[in-house]
Amino acid sequence: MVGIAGPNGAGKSTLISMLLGFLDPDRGTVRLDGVDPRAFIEREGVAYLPELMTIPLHWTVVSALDRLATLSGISPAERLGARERVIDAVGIGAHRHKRLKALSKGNLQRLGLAQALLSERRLVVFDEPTHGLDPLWTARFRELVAGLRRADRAILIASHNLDELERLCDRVVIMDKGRIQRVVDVREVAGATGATRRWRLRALVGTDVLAAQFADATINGDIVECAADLAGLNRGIALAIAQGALLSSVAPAESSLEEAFRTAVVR
Amino acid sequence: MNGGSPIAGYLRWQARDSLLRAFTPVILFAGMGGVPLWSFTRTVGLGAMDRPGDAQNLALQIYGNTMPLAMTLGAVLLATGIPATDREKQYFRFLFAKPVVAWAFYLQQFLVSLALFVVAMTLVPLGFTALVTAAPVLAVTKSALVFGLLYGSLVVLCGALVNKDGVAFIVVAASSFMLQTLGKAGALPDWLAGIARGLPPFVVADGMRALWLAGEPVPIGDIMHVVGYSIGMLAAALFLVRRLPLARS
Repeated sequence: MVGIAGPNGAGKSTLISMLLGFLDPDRGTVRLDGVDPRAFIEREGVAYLPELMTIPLHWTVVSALDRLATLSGISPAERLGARERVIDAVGIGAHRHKRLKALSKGNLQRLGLAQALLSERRLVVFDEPTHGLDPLWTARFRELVAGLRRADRAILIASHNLDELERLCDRVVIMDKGRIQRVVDVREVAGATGATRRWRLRALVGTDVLAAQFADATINGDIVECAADLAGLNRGIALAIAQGALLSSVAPAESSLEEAFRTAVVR
Repeated sequence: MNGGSPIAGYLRWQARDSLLRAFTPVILFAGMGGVPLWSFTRTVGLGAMDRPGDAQNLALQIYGNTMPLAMTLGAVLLATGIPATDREKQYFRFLFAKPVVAWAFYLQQFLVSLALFVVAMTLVPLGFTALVTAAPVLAVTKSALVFGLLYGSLVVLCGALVNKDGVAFIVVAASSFMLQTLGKAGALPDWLAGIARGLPPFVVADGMRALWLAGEPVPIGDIMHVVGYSIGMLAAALFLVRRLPLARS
């Protein structure tokens, strides 16, 4: 599972359009499984959720899913079952006979997710998939995507939401100005112990004592922010506790991906 | 999982989408011709229009003026938005992420629209014959097929090139009509007359329809010219759909 991150205008959606054969590259070639993207999609299709829900708004939820199931190659005998399965999966059963123009942004996005899940595909592409979803459905989306993991399946997720990418993806490609700036192995970065990172420590007692253990620590109320590698952090905390400090939380000031993003995308 | 050709399965949806547009000429005819005929009926009575005489002549004149106009407008409308709307409104992102060949999808959409348009246009003389007085049916069917093919193919070609297919069609059609009419009258220099002959044969198609409606034979050369030109435009349009990117930015 690969994430694509980048600021607005970095080229994430353009890259996806090229991967799907909707746009031609100015230079170079794009190949999916060794063939032109359109040839690949015409052969086996992709599970694709675009950034914008561009479906005719006079369609109803069920007619949209029936139409797209038909185009997915799902037989009439299996269509009803497939439709109901995805309607259940994304929880839009109460809206099944509504026209799309009557749906909220979040429900429209859930419909987009539903149509992407109609068929089993080897390639899954989600462009800003949680755009418009509430926190409950954002969490549900993560479960659904986690359930799509399969050894022979590639999943690409473009998102502004670094937390989401860090939770879901194995690797994240950071793009800026139309180019790949960095590829971050999320698991590797999260597990690294030697790198110096910024930490946020909350102390109920002994904020000053805690701050004194780190060279460039800053205090803001009961929060101490400092930079340290994992060993230095533990040493400092142990000394502070020995001197009477009482800590209630220790957390990275920013995620490893946020840190990588900040350094890769220089403004 | 696979239920045969996805595009063939989608035919009923395309037919549903095309239905209103295909029947627009019937509505236009009912509006443009039906209202004056109805008011005329109230004056002279329905039976008078089915007997030789002034009333029947007037009824046939109203029919003769409005039916071709409805047919021409319907022929333009039948293909409007194929494939321009899907591209402009980005519907293609959903349609063509599925295992679907875009040019075949649009070919089927065009053929479905054309078939429905021909059926709808055939209902006009049938209805006129049933309600008012006898009018040729097969002549209208043949004319509708030729007009739908010619006008529709040009609209699809315009739609394959630009988003504003209607505007592009009007520019090409108006230029063709003007130049071909002047060329026929011998009012153009040779080089411009040559260009006019190379443009879509609207004037030839008009002549064909007039001959069919008058019950006269149409030269096979004219039929070949119009049908061949139309198929050429349609093939060019589908080639462009295949070659040009679906997204334009």
